[in-house]
Amino acid sequence: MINRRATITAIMGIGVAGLASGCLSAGSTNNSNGNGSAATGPGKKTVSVMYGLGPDSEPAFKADVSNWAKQNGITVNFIKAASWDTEIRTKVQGGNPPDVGLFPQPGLMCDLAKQGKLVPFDAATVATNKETLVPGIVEAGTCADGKVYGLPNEVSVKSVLWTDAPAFKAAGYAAPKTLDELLALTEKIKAEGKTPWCIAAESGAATGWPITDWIEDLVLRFAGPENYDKWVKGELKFNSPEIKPAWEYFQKIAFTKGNVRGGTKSIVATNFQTGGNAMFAQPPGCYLFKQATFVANKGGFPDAVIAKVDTETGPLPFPAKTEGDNPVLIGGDIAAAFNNDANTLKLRNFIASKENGVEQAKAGAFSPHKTADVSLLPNKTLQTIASDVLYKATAARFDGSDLMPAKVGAGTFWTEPVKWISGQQDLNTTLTNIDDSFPKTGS
Amino acid sequence: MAIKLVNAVTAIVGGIGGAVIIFWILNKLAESLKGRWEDRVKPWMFAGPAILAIAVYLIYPAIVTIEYSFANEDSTAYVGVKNYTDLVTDKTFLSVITNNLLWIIIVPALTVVLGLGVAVLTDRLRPRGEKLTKTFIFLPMAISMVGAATIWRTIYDYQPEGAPQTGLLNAVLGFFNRAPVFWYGTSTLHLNSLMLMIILIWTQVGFSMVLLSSAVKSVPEDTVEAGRIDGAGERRIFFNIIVPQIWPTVITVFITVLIGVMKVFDVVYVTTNGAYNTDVIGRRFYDELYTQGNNGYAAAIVVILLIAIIPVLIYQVRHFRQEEAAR
Repeated sequence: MINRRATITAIMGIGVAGLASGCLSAGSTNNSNGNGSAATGPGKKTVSVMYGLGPDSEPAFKADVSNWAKQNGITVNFIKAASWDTEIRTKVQGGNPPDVGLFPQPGLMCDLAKQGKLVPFDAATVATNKETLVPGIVEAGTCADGKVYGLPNEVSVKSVLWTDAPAFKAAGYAAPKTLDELLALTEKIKAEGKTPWCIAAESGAATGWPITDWIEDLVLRFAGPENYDKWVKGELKFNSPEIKPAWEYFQKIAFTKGNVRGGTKSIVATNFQTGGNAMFAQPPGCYLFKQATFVANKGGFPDAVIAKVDTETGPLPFPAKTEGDNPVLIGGDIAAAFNNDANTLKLRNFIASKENGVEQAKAGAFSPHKTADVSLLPNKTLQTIASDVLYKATAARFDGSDLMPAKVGAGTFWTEPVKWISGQQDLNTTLTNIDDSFPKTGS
Repeated sequence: MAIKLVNAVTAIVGGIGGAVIIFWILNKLAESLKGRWEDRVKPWMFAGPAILAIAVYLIYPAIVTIEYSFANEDSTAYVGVKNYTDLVTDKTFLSVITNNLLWIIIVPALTVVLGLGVAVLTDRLRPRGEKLTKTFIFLPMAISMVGAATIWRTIYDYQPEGAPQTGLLNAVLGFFNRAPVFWYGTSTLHLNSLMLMIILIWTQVGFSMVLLSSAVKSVPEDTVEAGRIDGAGERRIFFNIIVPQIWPTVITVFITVLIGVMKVFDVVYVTTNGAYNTDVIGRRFYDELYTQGNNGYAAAIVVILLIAIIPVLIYQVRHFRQEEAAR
């Protein structure tokens, strides 16, 4: 009995000691890089870069960076994160971040910038890049303090409406140029007893994100680029009269009986990579599928279609509100630096520059710089998308969910629409729930 | 490769050897004390390192977690009980609690019942059949939760109507000309949660069966025999003679599974990620910490889970002590 009491006393003693020493650490870890635009580090021999690129884009990225590194006598240590968000958070919290990181989510990047973990670009580099970047991209890498923390390595184009070109032609359909024409085409296909749309939003633990692309493209068109920016920053609510029409348009397409293959509820159960493949079946399971360019790669469309992508698919620009005024929605991995060592910044600045991306273009990735050589892209489909959709866009905007605070952009903006589409709640509840989850500015 | 092997061997030998040397030294130190002090100090020399390890790796983090649960999302300032009041008033969190309660009520009970059923029935088989049956039922135990969820996809999978169905259930529905159902998205009567529970039960029954089977076998034959002579039927013998004698094992299995279920995470994470009203505390905690980056909220959830688990632990320790005393 005495022994037991002694044990308890000992444990409590240790506990109290722990409590006394474990006070909250004050958040003043950002001593070294407050303004950190100029390099102060000695220039380390080995620089590490961490990214969440898939197996298709990783080798080309490595090739581009290695070529540069060889010329500059720097060794680059490539670190692949299987689950970017989780791993980068863990590494940063553990005080062991990489030198350069490619953020697929600028929202998370700005979260870390706010905590003082990142080094912004200097004004001169930003100015040089701004000349050649598609308009709107620099703003995407700018965080709340007005500094540019990240610029993209490559971009993907999301505003693409895919069709099965031969089937589309055979049925006698014309490419819709406006959103009204798109609705009319939907009605026309349905009236012929066929299913117009394939919509797919299942993505394992990230189910719901493809819906954000839909909504963003529609907000860009219904509300315009300026309101889009305000919406992304949280200044315009999801449930505001400017933003809501986008949702209502999506509702018209996705919720009307007979519009979507498998019915509305199958949207969240159909995989985003292969969800459009029914388009290429005989007879076609659907005629329209909206998805970013990556879907025309292995793992997306059927292999037989990819082999003859230029003749089998017909990518169209997602229609505009008024004909000809096409904004473009893009995504991409943004390079940011975790310290201001000279070589760290050199590597980051190279990744963001127009010199980067030759190998990646050959592998099918778009450079964010308008000066890029389109003919490097491996097929005509991608060349058309680059020159017609990306470089001709009246305004480019970065994927809004990637720019929003992670709580919304990788949280409620994914999960609440899933509840809406699977019939658990109505549109108003959905929008209000997302608005409620938006962190108050300045907190 | 060779270097890795050498490293591994060095680590094992060094680790075990180091521990042996430390305890040997501590023992020598204790022996160097004279008289009664040797007896007083010696137990602590052996228990001390373990207590220290528990303090460093368990008690200290627990205390820090409790502390963080009263702090903001970056753990830089205290916010009082705000995290707790937010949680309690959050409608989605209440549904999380409801789901967890369902898991707690259903999974351990079914695991024990099924395990006991298998244990009793296989006991009647010939040795060879018993071994084979038990092996098959024990097999899922060796599969990771993620693997199990993937395997069960062949049962629950859904394809839009008109496409070939890749899930067994929907294929059966299709055979009877019924439209396919998106099972994971069907929360009527918590059907989807129940389907996830089945996956967990499938992996746990083997464990329950093995323990209960050995308990059933150790029931003295003469007690059963005596019951038969007194004219008891099979059912009577089972409920009034066998079950009371294996009850302590039943409780042990029940509580072990219960504690596992309270922490359930992976099944839900890989199948629905908490969507369609299937969320549980474990996944919500992960979501708050890693997706939302909200340390305070995540810590508060863990503290609630900790508080909920304590009564179970106390009961288990008491039960264990009674067992010891009875021997």
